[in-house]
Parts: sequence; structure tokens; C-alpha cells
Amino acid sequence: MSWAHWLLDSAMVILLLGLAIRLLTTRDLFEATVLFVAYGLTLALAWVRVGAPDLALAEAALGAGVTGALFLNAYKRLARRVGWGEQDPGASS
Amino acid sequence: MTDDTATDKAPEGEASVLNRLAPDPLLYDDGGRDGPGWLRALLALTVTGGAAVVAYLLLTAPARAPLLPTLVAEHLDQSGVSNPVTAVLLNFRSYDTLLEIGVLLVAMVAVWSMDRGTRELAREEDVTDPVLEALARLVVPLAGVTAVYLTWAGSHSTGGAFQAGALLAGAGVLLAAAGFLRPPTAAWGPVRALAAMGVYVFVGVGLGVIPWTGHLLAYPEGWAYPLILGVEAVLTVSIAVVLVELFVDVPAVPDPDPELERLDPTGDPLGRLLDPRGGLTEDDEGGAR
Repeated sequence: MSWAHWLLDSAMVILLLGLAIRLLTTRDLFEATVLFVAYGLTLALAWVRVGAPDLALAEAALGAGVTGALFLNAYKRLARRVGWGEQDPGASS
Repeated sequence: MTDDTATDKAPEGEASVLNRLAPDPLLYDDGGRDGPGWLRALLALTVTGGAAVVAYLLLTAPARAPLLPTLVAEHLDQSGVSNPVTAVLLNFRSYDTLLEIGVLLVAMVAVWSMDRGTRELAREEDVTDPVLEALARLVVPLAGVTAVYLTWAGSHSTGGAFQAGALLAGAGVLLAAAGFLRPPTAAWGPVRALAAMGVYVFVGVGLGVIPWTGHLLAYPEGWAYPLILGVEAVLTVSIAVVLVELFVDVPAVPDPDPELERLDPTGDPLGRLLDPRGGLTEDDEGGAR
């Protein structure tokens, strides 16, 4: 593998791990949802790198598109129902 | 600063239970967020240990030539398509795909069944966004054309029913977010028909080939490609409809009612302990569900 491949792959691995850790530990659920969408898109690129372009298409559309939208929808309804303020979403009200 | 749309009817100075909105589901009873320390330590240990075991197994596994790609390559010309992924999904393991579509349909019905009879209709504060509308007008036709292409291209290149269906579902989600798709849609006949069509056509094809080849889903000679293409086309639409339904037709739980809270502070949002009909109103009597 050329050094460009190594660079790209290691950057993607670091990005995947960093995104995953951040989105699991953050207190702000909206941030977690946005990071989840970014994670899905990075994972789609990773699928391309391991030679599974069909998986990459499905991951981009489903993981980032549909699931991300579902999470945002759930967050919006939950926030409205529980009464999270704009400044402090996801924490105790 | 909390949003008190649910308590704006309550006069100030009432008992604290009226000022309490629905209990925050993310907090434990003592108000903490993280749960007991011993449980978190146990989970961390289990997950890390499991990951270490998997990594060790992967690193020390003996090198072995994978068998399946060779098998697939050998029989690819018999499958009717030239993309090995589509050949596996729609021909060699078509039964699995059939069950997957069935799972999607069942999931959609399960989400519908959680409906308590009320609908979260568009609220006044859901202002339509002109940027989102413009984006939807630009993207959705493109997505439609691309989805048709992906369905057809799946037979010889990257693509297929799932990819095209997922793309269409994303376009549908964008439509719903921009306000062009209004819930409720679950009771509408065409939606149900389109969602179920995937399973029906797939099962129909699977059973229909039995008189010719004697086996479920065993395509007859020379018919593999048209059958696969036909099933994929139907599956694309079905998958898209199911996924958009999962996003659009979310069962609604009514907002907490301050009056119910005063009478029944257990926090049951439907007041089932008070109202024997479980929160249904007269509007819901005639609803076909």
C-alpha cells in the first residue's frame, strides 16, 4: 500500500474512533446526533476503502440519511415533551 | 430556562407537581445521569475484554483462502447478473432477502401498532423553511432518477434494490422535513399497498417458479435476469415507502396534561388510571386502524 493509502486509512480510523468516543460521551444529544451522521458518512468512506461500494451506498443513505433524520426527529419530540431549554438540551431541566 | 408550553395554563405558585413537565427519561430517579459506578465499571470491563478477545482472534487466525468468492465467481454466469453482490442477494441467497423485506414490513407495522390514537399534527412553530423547500425541489427529482438508475445498474455494477430504496427513502425524508409530506399517512390505502407489494411480489415470484423448477425461488433457465430486475424494481419502491413511513408516521404520545397531573401525579401521560378508555377521544372512534 502506498503512503497515500496509509495516510488516508489512518486518518479515517482516527476520525471514526474520535467521532465514536465523542458522540458517546457528550452530554448534548443534538451534538451526538450530528456526530452520528458524520460517523455514518465516514463509515461509508471506509466501506469504499475495504472494497464494498454497495455497502457504502447503503450506509450513506441509511446511516446518515434515514437514521440521522430519525434521531433528529426523536430529539425534537423528546425535547418538546420533556421541556429541555435551548441552552441545556439533554441535561436535567 | 425551560420550555413551559405544557404548563402555560397553570397559575403561578401552584404545587411543584404542576410545574413539572414530563419526567426526563434520561435521568435516574435520584436526578443523576450516569447510573451506579459498579455497573459502569462492569460494562467497561466487559466491552474492553470482548474487544481484546476479538482483536486477538482476528490477529492470530490462520491465513486461509476465502472460499465463498471463488464459489460465487464460478457460478456467476448462471445467476443472470454480473454483479456478484446482486447475484448473492437476489439469486443465490434470495430467501434471506425475502425475509429481510418481511422484517422491514413487520417493523413498520410494529411502529404503527404503537399508535395511541392521537396524531402529532403540524404545529404552528414548525415554520416552513424556504431553503429546505428549495433543496427538496432540487434534490428529490435527482434522487428519483438516480434511484431508477441504481436499481437497473445493480445487475452489472454497484447498486441494487436496497441502495436505490435507501436513496429514495432519504429523498422522502427530505420531502417530509421540508413539509411536502404531511402525516398521517398510515391509513392511506396506496401507502399500505406499496409497502406490502415488495413482500407479495417476491413471495409470488418464489412460489410461481415452483411449477417450472420445483424449488422455491429457483429461477427457470434464462428467466433469472428479468425476474431479478422485476423483483428489484418492486423492492426499491417498497423499501422506500417502508423507511419513509417509519420516519413520517411516528406514533404520538400526548403532551402532559396539567389537570391530569393534579389528579394523578403518577405521571402516566395518558391518564389511564383515571380514564378507562385510555386517553382516546371521540375523534378516534371512527378511525380505521
